[in-house]
Amino acid sequence: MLIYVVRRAVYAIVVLFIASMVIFWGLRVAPGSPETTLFNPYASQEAKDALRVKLGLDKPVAVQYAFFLRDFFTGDFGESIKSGQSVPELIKEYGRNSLILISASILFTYTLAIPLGVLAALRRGRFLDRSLMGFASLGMGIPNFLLALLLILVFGTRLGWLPISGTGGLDHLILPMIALSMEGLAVTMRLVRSSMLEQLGTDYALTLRAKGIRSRTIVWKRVLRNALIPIISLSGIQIGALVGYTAIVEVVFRWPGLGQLLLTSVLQRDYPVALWLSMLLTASVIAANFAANVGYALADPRVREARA
Amino acid sequence: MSQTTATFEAGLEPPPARRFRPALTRLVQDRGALLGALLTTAFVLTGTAGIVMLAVPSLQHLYLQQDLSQALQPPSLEHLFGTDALGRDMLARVVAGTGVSLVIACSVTAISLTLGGLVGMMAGHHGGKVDLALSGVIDITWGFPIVLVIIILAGVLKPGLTTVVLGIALINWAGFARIVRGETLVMRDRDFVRAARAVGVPTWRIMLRHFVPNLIAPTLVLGSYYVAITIIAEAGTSFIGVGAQPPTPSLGQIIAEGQNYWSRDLWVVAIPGAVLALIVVGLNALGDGLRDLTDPRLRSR
Repeated sequence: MLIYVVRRAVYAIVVLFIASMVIFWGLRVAPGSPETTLFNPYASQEAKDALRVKLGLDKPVAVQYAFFLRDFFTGDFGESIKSGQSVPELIKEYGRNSLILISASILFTYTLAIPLGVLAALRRGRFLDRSLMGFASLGMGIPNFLLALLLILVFGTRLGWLPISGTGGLDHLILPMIALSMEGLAVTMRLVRSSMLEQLGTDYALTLRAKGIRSRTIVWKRVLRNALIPIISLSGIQIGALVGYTAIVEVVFRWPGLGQLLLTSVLQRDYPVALWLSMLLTASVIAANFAANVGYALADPRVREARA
Repeated sequence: MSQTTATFEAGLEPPPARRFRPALTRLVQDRGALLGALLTTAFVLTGTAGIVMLAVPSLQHLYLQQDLSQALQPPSLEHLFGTDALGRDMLARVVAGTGVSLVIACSVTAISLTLGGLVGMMAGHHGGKVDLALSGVIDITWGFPIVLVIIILAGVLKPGLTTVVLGIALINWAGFARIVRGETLVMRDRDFVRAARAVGVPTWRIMLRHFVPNLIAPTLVLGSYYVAITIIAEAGTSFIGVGAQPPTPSLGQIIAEGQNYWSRDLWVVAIPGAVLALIVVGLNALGDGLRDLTDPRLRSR
């Protein structure tokens, strides 16, 4: 087991190293540069050159990469060219907002999807089931930015009930959270429904019924637990997709989160921010993958034997 | 249905007629799948018209011609979908935008299928060290959120449709590879493959003659979902400005341009939005129908 974990860890570090080189090289050879996007066109050549020297852009890419590695190991993450704020500070500030939005959406998705999916399964073929499934098809069909615009128009502009941009109290969170959750909500609801239907038809469910146990107990205590297994195993992909879509939802609602920060820093060639954010994203995906693999191996001895 | 059914038919040969007929009947009987097939047909036809419009220079004025005196006109006989803030005909723009969606969907699917199919079959067929290495790559690739990858790629290359295609394909191939690997792993030990190997059929031929035909059904199911994901991702990234760049119209970008006006002039967002939603709903319904059709265990109705 230990060998397996070490192997996996070495693998993860190698992948991260390769990815860091690709991203670094990619962002540096890209067309456009900070001094053209961040300065006004009339800025003096001296000022531009000074910036290049300060950022080390006057040196070859390989040397720049070595500096980057040194900065990483010495914990010097630099500062935003645009705002002058230090990168860890920026990431902390924007990351907090993203974290709030993402965790609220995950919570909203699952607390709503599971009971609704069970209800749909119990009322199979009836009006409730049909309307819930129709709602799910729509939820999967409407891209989140469109839903976001719709929510802004109806609840923000027309009814004036909720704020439509920026952060603040809980009321600022509601609309972005709904926009971000809808697709996952629809998908999870359908999954819960079909998984429940499958479990309700099994022998053990029939046995429980034959023993005269109240159907409420059977459904919510016994069957649901088994029905949730596929939902849990798919939650990784589901949450990954949700994290990806935050960028779009954050832009629509002007929610100052990491997705928006990544977008602006990339488009404005704010190298230090774009670079470290991309690295952070890559590292977290690799870490999640590592954790999932180790988790599987812990749960299933066959995996670690086959793959060790 | 045209394109999808044609491939479907080809995939089930031989024997064509006997196995295909009941499948088609069932597909038609399933109302959701029928709706999906009809919407997808409409998408493919409209998209083809859009591609023609995008490709033929003499037709480009249809969606590019500005007329500020006609700005933000509501739908009328002259402009069925109304006009946008620059007085351009919304119908032509939506058709051209659908064409962009179709082109993106086809290119991404072609790249992902080829790459994912090859890698998946290699991993599944060879097993051992090869499988271990390839599966690792597949696992990690599959974990990246598409939209964020496109944004980073937009920084590396430049914002545009090529970036979008590369970004989505860079991730989606792994999704196909996972499925293909799983199916190949099961098939590798089936008798007909063993028999072929025993009589000395070369590996590439086994892949081509035995694996590929058996992979068509799951690929079609997955394919329709992936096309939907691709279209959503393209629209979303074009909406935030890293996808299609003006003057190329994309549904996402048309919606982005309209968002400042639609609290008063509803159609500038509502119409392209509805078209986009119908395409995705149609593809999902078709995917569900195909899944029920090819995998009876999953039939949930």
